[in-house]
Amino acid sequence: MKKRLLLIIALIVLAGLGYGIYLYTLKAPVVAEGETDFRMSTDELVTLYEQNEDSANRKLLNQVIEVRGAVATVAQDSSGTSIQLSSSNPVAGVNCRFDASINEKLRRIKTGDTINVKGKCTGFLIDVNLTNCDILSN
Amino acid sequence: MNRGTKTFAIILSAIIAMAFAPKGDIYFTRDGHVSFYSKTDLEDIKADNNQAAVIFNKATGAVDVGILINAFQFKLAKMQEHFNETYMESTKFPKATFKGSLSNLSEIKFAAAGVYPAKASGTLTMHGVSKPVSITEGTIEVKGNQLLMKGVFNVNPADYNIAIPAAVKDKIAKSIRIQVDCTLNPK
Repeated sequence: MKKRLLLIIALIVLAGLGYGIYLYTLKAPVVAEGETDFRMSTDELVTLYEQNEDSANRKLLNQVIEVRGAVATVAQDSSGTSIQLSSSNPVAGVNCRFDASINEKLRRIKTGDTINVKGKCTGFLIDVNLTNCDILSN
Repeated sequence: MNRGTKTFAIILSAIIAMAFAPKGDIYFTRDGHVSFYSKTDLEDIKADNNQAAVIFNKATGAVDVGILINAFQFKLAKMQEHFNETYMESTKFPKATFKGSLSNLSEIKFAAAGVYPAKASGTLTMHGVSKPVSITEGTIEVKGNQLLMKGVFNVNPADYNIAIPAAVKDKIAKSIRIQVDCTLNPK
């Protein structure tokens, strides 16, 4: 009986240890994971931040957002791709950053295209920034 | 004015300055690369941010940089989580800013292609704390109509009230090396 109890405890400890190692070595996602929290246009997203950055952050920071907008610029290098989506605001748009593993998928994207992007909202600088982005089919 | 509004105002004032500055003086990027590196005997930690906003006025030497803490990409999920939740408290302080100027502006010949040593000093604000910083090992390369800015400096987490728990204090360097590498285009 005592032996059995010890065995069970040992198994629990091992499982815990295994789970700990799994968590510790888990890679950080390079593409936003999980369900989309908010869907909106670039104009809606930029307007929310322009009106009140603090309240927009409370609602959207770290949330997975799907945004639809027109491509203003595309810049690709070995570390990834940056796509700027325009909005009706002359300065602020949506700055989307994609990991290099998505580069191939973005090869044909050009200025003027309308695309759907899913990414994690990280806040507002000149633009609203999304990171760990992925492109969705139209 | 609360902190969020204040950091926003810093970027906003730079954008307004950018809008009114004579054409040709302002260079900027939205995709600047900022990385940091922590090296100890136990662990090397590196993270990258490819969305730094940098606005530079070549007539006055003013430099404004804004980065979002949540956009730093780590290799391991746990490191990224600890960085955001425990150390930087990025929900409360989502942004870091540098506001300063070049201290050797006159030595940089913007009209002639080449790599020039550059020095900058200013105020770094992160985790709700503002401190003066100097960047002494920088360069500006004049290349076509672009400016390539590079710089390295160190920050001590303790100076910014970033508390490192005792359990991991040997894994995180007392001094973190910050590297900035960005390509600025004319406005």
